[in-house]
Formats: sequence, structure tokens, C-alpha cells
Amino acid sequence: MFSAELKKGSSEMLILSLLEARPRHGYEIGKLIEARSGGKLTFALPTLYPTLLRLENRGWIKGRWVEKAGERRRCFYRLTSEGRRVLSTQRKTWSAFIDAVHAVMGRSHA
Amino acid sequence: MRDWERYVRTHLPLPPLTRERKSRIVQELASQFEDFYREAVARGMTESDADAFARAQITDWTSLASTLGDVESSHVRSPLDRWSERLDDRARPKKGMSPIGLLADVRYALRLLRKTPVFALAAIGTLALGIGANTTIFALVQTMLLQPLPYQDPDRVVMVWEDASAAGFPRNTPAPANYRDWRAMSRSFTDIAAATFASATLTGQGAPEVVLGRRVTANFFPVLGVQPLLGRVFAAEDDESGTRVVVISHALWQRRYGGDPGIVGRTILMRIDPAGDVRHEVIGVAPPSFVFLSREIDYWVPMQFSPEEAATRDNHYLMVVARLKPAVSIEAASSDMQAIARRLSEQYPDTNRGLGTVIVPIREEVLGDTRVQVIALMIAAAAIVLIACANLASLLLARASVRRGEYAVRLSLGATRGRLARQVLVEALCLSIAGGVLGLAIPILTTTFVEQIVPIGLQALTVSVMDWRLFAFAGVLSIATGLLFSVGPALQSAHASTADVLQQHARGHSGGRNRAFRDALVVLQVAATLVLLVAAGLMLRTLANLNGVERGFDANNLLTMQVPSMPKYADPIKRPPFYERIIAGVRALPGVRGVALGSMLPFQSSGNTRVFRVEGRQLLPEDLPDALFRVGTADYLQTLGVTLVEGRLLDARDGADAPRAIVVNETLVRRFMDGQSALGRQIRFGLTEPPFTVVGVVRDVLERGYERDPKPGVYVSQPQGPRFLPTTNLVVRVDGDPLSYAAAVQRVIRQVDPEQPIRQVRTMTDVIGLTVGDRRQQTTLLVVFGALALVIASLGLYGLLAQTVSARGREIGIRIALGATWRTVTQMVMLRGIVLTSVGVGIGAVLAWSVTRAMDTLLYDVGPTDPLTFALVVGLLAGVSAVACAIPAMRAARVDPMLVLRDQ
Repeated sequence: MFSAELKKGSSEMLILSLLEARPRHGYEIGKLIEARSGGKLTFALPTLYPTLLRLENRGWIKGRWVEKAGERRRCFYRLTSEGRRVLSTQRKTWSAFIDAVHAVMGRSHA
Repeated sequence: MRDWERYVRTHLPLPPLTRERKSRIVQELASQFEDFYREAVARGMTESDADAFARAQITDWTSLASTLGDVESSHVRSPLDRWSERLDDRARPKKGMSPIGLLADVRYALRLLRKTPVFALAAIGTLALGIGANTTIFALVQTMLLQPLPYQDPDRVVMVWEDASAAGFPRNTPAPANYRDWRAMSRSFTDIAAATFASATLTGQGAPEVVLGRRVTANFFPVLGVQPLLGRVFAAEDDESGTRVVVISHALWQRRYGGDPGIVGRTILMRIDPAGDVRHEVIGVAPPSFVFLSREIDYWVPMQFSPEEAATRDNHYLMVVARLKPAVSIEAASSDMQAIARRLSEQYPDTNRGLGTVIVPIREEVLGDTRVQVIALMIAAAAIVLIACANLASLLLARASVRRGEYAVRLSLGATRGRLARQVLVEALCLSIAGGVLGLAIPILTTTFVEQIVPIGLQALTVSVMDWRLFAFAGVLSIATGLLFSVGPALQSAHASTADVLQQHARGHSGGRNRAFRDALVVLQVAATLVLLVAAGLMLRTLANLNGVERGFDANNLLTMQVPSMPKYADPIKRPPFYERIIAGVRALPGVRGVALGSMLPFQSSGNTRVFRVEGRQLLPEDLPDALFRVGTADYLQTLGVTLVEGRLLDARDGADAPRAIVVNETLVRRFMDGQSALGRQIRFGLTEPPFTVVGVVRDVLERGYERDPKPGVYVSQPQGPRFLPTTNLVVRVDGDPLSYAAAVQRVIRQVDPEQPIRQVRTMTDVIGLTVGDRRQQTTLLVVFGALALVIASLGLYGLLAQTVSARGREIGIRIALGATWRTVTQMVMLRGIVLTSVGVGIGAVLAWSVTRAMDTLLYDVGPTDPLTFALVVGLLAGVSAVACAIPAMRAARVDPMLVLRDQ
């Protein structure tokens, strides 16, 4: 549906924003992106997981193995304070970019 | 259901990663496969379809593996981060100094230290000695200075002595009638109590045992404000009625009566010297902490002055203790007492002329000079830790220079400076805490040695690891030490910038600031060592001076023991045969050269004097005809080995019926014979006793110990001596080691009378040693501290220069290649060592000059700024540091320029 470059550029921001509310595990993140985008955005495992690992290595998110009652042991990722800061700048940049794109392209109804 | 982990592991060709990272990735992917699989099953797929669905999520394993490899390699983790990461999996980390991060630092530090075992062991050893020394001294300080005396409101308790300075007794024991007048007349005290020395033989249950005790007035315990542990203390009736009651010490209660809870009310068999009833009722047990002037006291009985005793003014033997009224100062009490003393001396000029009073707070009485000693030791121990800290700081700085490369890499990879500094601190703390734990062994191992410094009037030193104060002290000191020696290096590591560090590392050169700091540390070590060595040197000279003093008799090869007189020999008719049998038995032992009994041995008593008159000589106003009065069996003076100046010594001729003969010392002759020979002159004691004729003059014997002024002294033979002075000290001159005769001599005494107790079996050298005992312990400690400081400081100097030589190897190589000679190279290296030592010696000398003045009271016949001691110490320090400098200097000269240049 969207080009790989477009997806790749936004994947990090999407993951960070999904973790803003609460920690989630990898599978849940993939499913949420798919569900919230109405199926327009999907991140397959070979894309999603390296992204998570990269975000974690940068210290923006932090994975932790948790065993919840009645569930399997899963790695839950939470946003670090560093990640929270990154997310807020990315949001600002993103909306500024969108505004700029709109301004250039003119509002039209698809 | 599949084993997804195995599935992932077999399919994913991961690049080399650590085991933790690999398994982390595998687990996470497997977990997601499981999610896909379950979702498929939940949607109604068959298991094999669901399995295929899940597997379809990843098809290009190679590409995934290389992506993951890129992600990982762009993020190199230090071992430190790996540790903390692994630990973080177990607990959520907190911000800042999280305990988890700290634990990781500790583990990292331990691993680093294990890699440099020599450094680690040297550092821990140095710290253990330093912290151990301080903890030992702390135990002393705790016992001697911090612990309050075991009395109620101890600051109000004072000793009241008679001031008989004119007679050589600045703090004399007053006579009973004077004490009673003081008590009646003084207005400054809530009450005044008196005690006197006593001893008793305990019989009945168990072997006969001689114990020391005191006769005390009924108000003794109330004046001190001491409640008994069990039972009661004395009431006024006990003192007046003559009942046989006793309060025993906690130690005696435990030792002899097994802590019998029914001890109060029990009757014990106790014969009090010299005679008296045997049966005493125990009315109370003193608390375990109770000490009054001597911790060896085991019982207290009522004073029960007889009417004659109560009226006497010329028999001085009481120890008087009083409690100041709340608002009264020592000065006010002193002038009150001086006024009373003046009135008494006007009223009783014969006995009280020239007598004053002196009031001494009980703490000062008990501690005396030892307070200065302990403070000196405390300073010395602190200096040791300071030197050790300086040394370790220097070593850590050297290590930091070596590790600059590591720091630079870690900094450029994003480690914060705080993190690096923290790492250095943690390493230091690991060392110092290990040192502290080891150091705790030192006070325990040295207890028996150190406890001899504690004055007899205080509770014995107790050292136990279970003592939380000791533990806390060692703990706090360990942490403080660790922080102290690592702050410099930690700041250094935090200050370094990446580029700076990398460049400097390349040049193999440490920064100027670093170098100046390390130089300062060496100077500090040298200075502190000099102070310690000077203090030790002054004490050594003091001991040597004391040993060199002419004692007036031959103290070598003498065995001594006390044979307390028993009531059954109180009768002067029964006494001599008993003594003769002992003497005959001991003399028959092989190797015995002489044996005698004396009333008081040299160094045992500064008193036991009697007032005398030289017949036919007018007494001058300034004369104080008071002489040390010693009684001995025949050959007593010969056995001691005194030096005869004139006439003869006493011997078997001077029996009970022979003409009364006396030997006098040179001081008596000098002061009372007006330049004439003493031989044939008559000396009289008391008004009714017949006079003695002087038959001999001997050199002054140090009867009063080293540091008291000499007094006139006389010796008479036992059969002619007064009844009240029993000769209870056996002295035996032998061939070889005196103590090897102890058992045989005691056997002889037991054969004569199996009931005869024997106490204090010692060589004469030990008797003398006891009088300087605490000073000897202190000197030994100071010498050990000084030697320790010297070793640490010279190692510090050596380490600094050796490290400089290896760091400047290239420069030295170039110099040699350019024609520098062996001589110029060694000079260059040594010069720095010499300059540092000289500065250190200069600062140290100034410090020592001011510090040792405080030791003045401990010194004997040597000034606190004794030039010889200073010169010797400076020489020693210079010699040792020359060696410490020469070794690296020689190594510098042997640098092969080709090797060094090629290496660069």
C-alpha cells in the first residue's frame, strides 16, 4: 500500500507512540499498527523486530521479560524517558512536516 | 506445538554476538512465532496450518540475520553495560545511583582487581595495616577516653591528697585523724570517703587464694554513687559495730563462687591481713564495671578504725575520695581545703607542719600521662592511614594513566564521565572495605599487648568483633579511606576529554596536573613518616635513658615473689624460724647464689618511710628527716648486689641480740652527716626505740623507681626491725634465667607450709619493666608505626619514579641515543626523587618540631626537639629514599634506545 521508504521512516515513531500509554509486547505492537491503520500499515516480523532492537539499543525503549497471570512469558517494551523526549520532538517535526506538505500541495479531497 | 526457540536458532544465521544477546533475540522471535501460531489456532486453523502460518512470517532468514547483526554492531556495549543489562532483567533499574548499577560496578571492579593481583594485594595489605592500627587505637581511646568512669556524675568525683612535696610526696596518703578533720571541717563536698589497701586469704571451697581488697568507710560507695549489683553496700552501723561483712567484686563472685545467685547472706572464709576473724558475711556484689583506682580489687570491708587508729596523724595510708557539691568548683574546693590544712598545721605542728592538700579530678588521677600517650598513638595511627591513602591515590593515578586508553574508548562510545568516576570510586571502596575486614583482625590479635597501656584504674580493655562500635569505626574508616584516596584519581578520570586522552595516550605521557598531584602525595608521605619516626625515636631514646640509669643494684638474674605474711606468723617469735626454713631450702637448690626476704624491693614502693633523728646533730629548719625504711633478712643487700661505699653490709651477725646495726644510703649521708663519715653515728626512729649504729654506706638504690627524686634510705636486719614491717618479698639470685627456678622455689615454700600463698612471681627485670610498662608498649607501637610508614612511603617514592621511568622511556631512549651518559640519565631521575624527599623532610621536620612538644611529659632525659634524634631520623629517611630512587634511576640508565624507539 505504502512504499517501504515511507513505512521505514515512520515505523520508529509509530512504535514509540504506541508505547506511550503502556508497555506492550512485540506481537501486540504489530497487531495494533495493523488494526489502527485499518490494515493499511502492516509491519511484518522481519521489519518490526529489528526496529524494536534498534530502538532498545538506542535506549529509547526498554524490553523486560514479564510473566503475567495466566499468560506466557513475554518481552514487554516500555518507553524510557529518553524515548519520551525523542517521541515528542518527532511528533513536532512530523506535524510541522505534514503542515508544510499540505501548504505546498494545497488541501484537496482525495 | 513447536519448540519455536529451537526453530529460530536453527534457521537464523546470526553473526558472532555474545551469548546473552543471541538468546535474547532468539527468545523474542520465538515468542512472536508462538503468538502468530496461537492466533491462527484461535481463528480455527488446524495445528499444521497454524504452524505453516507462523513459519510464513519469516522467509528470508539470512537478510533478517544480517539486519539484526547491523543493529547490534552499531551498538557496542561495554562489559559494564552487559553486566548491568543482565542484572536489569531481574529488577527494574532506578534513576541515578541505582543499587543494581552499583552492584554491576562492584562486579566489574572485582574482575579488574583480579586481573592485577599484585596491586590488589599490596593495596589491601596496606589498608588492612592502616585501618587495623587505627581500630586498635580506637579500642584504646574507647576504653580510656570515651567511656565514662563507672560512677554517678563522675566529673564531680575528686581525689583529695595530702601535699607533702617537701618530703618528696606531692600526692601523699593522709593519716586517719587528718581525714576525719577534713570531713568534719570542709564545706565543699557532699561527703568525703576513705579507703585503704588490704589483702586477704580466701580458704574453704577451693585452693587458698590471696585476693586484694580495700577497707573503706561506710560512705565510700555512696560518695562514688555506685549501687550494688546484688545485696547492699555498707551502712554506718557496719563501720561502727565491728561486724564481719564484705562486698565482693563481680569478678570474684564469678571466679570463685561460680556466680552463685544466693551469694548474698552466705558466709565465706576470709582471713584479712594481718589477723582477724575468718568468717565474713557477703552483703553485696559490686557491679561488673566498678573500678576504683585498681581493677585488681576483689573485695571491700568496712574501715572500722580502732580508737587509736582514728587518732593517729603520723601514719599516712588513706586514699581519700570526695564528691564536690553541685555548684562548687575545683578551685573553690582547693582553697577551702588549703585553709583547713593551714589550721591543722597550726594546731598540730609536730605532725602537720608543711602539709597542704591537693585536689585531683578522678579522671586525671586515673589517666595521668596515659592520655597524652593515647593521643600520640592516635595521631600516629592517623598518620599511617594518611600515608597509606596518599600511596594508594598515587598508585590509582598511575593505573589511571595506564587506563587512559580504556577511558577514552568508553567516553567516545557514550559512557558518561560520572560513570567513569563512579567506577574508580567503586574500585577504591572494594579495596578499602576488603582492607577494613582484614584489618579488624589486628585489634583482636594485639589485645594482650595493647591492653597493658590501659591504666590500672580503668576497666580492662575489651576487644571483640561483636562490639558494634569497633565494627562501625572500622566500617566508617574503610569507606572514608576509600573515598579519600580515590577522589583525586576519580576526578582525574572524569576531567579527561576524549581527544585529549587519546592524544596523551599516544604520547605515553601523563598530564602535568596529574604529575604535580602525585609529587605532592609523595611529599606528604615523606613528611608524615618523618613525624612518626621522630616520635618513635624520642621514645626509644627515653627507654634507653631509663635503662642506662644507675640503679644502685644488679637487677639481672634476680627472681622475686611475694610470700604474704599469714596471721599464724604474726607472732614475732614464730616469724624468723619460718623465714629461715624457706631461705635454707631455697639456698640448697643448685644454681642459687643468694636468697633473702625484704620488706619492700627496689622499684616497688616510693614510700614506707620513717622519721629519724641523727644523734648529736641539730636539726636545721629546712631538714626533712624522713627516710625510706627497708628491712631485710641477713644477706638481703648482698643478694640485691648493692654497691658498698664504706663499712660493711648487714649479715647473720646482726641478730636480735646483737648491737643494733643500720646501713644508710649516700643521700642520707650527703644531707645529714655534714661532710663527715657516717660510720659509727647513731640514728634513732621514734622516741622509745633504742638507736641504731651506722655500720655501712651504700650507693643509692632506686627504691622509688626511675622518675622520683632520691630520698634518704636505711636498711636494717629483720631480727632487729620493727614488728609491723614483715619481710614478705622473696628475692633469689641465680645463675641463668630466673624464671626457670620459679617452680623449684615455690616447691620449697610449699614444703615449709602448704598453706602459704605465693603471688607475683617475676624477674626483677620485669618488676622494673612494669614501672615503665605502658611506655614500653607505646614505644613498640610507635616504632612499628614508624617502620610501617617508612616502608609505605619509600614504596610510594619508588613507585612514582619507576612509573615515570617507564612512561618517559621514549624520551630517555632519545636522550641516550643523542649521547646522554649513564650519569646524566640517573641524575635526571634521582634529582626528582631527591627534591621530593627534601621537601617532604623539610615539611616533616617543621611538623615534628611542633608535634613532639606535646610528648614532653612522656620523655626522660631527652628534649622533644632533640637534635640527635632529628638528625638520625633524617639520615635514615634520606638513606632509604636514596635506595628507593636509585633502583628506578639505574633502570632508566639501562634503557636500550633501539628497543624503545622501535617500539614507538
